[in-house]
Amino acid sequence: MMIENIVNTAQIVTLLFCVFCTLFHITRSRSRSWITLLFFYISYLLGDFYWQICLFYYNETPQISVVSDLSWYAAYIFMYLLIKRNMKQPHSGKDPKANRFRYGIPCLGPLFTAAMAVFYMLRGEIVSNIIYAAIMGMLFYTILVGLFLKDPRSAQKHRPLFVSSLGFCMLEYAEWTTSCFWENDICRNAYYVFDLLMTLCFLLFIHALQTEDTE
Amino acid sequence: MSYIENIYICLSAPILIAAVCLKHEWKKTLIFLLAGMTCSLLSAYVSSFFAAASYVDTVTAAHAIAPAVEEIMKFLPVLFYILLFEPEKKDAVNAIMMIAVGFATFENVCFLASFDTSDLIHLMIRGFGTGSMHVVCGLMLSVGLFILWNQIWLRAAGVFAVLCTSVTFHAVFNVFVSHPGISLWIGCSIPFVITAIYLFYFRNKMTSSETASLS
Repeated sequence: MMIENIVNTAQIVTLLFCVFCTLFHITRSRSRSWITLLFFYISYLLGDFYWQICLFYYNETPQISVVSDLSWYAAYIFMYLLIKRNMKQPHSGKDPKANRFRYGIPCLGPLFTAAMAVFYMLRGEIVSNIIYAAIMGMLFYTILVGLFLKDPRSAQKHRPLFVSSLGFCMLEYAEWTTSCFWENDICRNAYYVFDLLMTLCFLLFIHALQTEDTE
Repeated sequence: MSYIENIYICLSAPILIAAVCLKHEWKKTLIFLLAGMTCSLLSAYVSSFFAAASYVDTVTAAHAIAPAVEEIMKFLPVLFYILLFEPEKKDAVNAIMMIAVGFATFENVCFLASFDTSDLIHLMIRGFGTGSMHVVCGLMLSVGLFILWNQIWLRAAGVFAVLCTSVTFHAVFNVFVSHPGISLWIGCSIPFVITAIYLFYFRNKMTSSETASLS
């Protein structure tokens, strides 16, 4: 319980720092990307904060996690909106064979989330896992379209954001998968490691948008 | 046991009569106030149903189920009004605020009827805290709706995301105020401070825009 408190608190403090950094950038640039990123951080922070105060007051994680889940859904939706804002038209290459393969890559995202949802539903709730699969599938698809089908002229500009988002989503899935084997000490420790790595990932989004602003 | 239906009838009767007698703008304001009270009454039934269906106690229901139910119930008349009547932004914001105020008023009256009314300080803290919390949730909703309403593809996702954020904020508030002492003070002061900051910022913005128009 102590290590969970430490890891959660570290994530909350990092998110607070990210919120203040984003507010600073909004006062300078007033860009919609920074505003969307701010909403992402605030949504995720509120979900984490609610989880942590339940742990603090009731010495256990919430019995019904609807409230945190809703907040995290909101965060993923804001991340989707942020990535969608930075999308360009797909690049129509000269080699149709290569494009067929490249057009197939983004479909791997929803396939992955659907498969993982089936795995999680065997161990937990059904409705929330379906919603997570739908939202994350949409997110993965959009990220992979941005990475593989984006106009290469602007690919360099937005690549840090897409790579950070992909890393964040993969770490989120790694966390959820290790939480399915909570009784195993190795998996429990791996869960905390992935959680800390995800905490660091939040800082990468700020770096990614700063890189876009300077280019 | 407090009979909330009886409280509702006693509160809504004069409002309904006044709404019939008054002119258009005032009539609309009172109707939204009444809608907020009706949502509060219906939220009690819906929350109780989900609490019984999930086999949770009232403490868990207060922070895990009630916030989601209450925010969605408050949102439904707003959505109906916006989709059907396509009002001006100012009218829609007023509608959201009056629904939130009606909801908070009815909730406070039911709290008074259920508990001891002798501790004035405690009641003031709770009254202002709950009122400002519902106003903050309404503000969040109105700001989110009008930033995200303009583009069709943003509308659904953005509105859902903003609703989720207000649900979590409400839940965090409920966790804080359910514990007496410093926790109650912190919980009630957070939305009050946010409202004060918003009023201060809004008032400054209005003053500067008026000065700009005069010069």
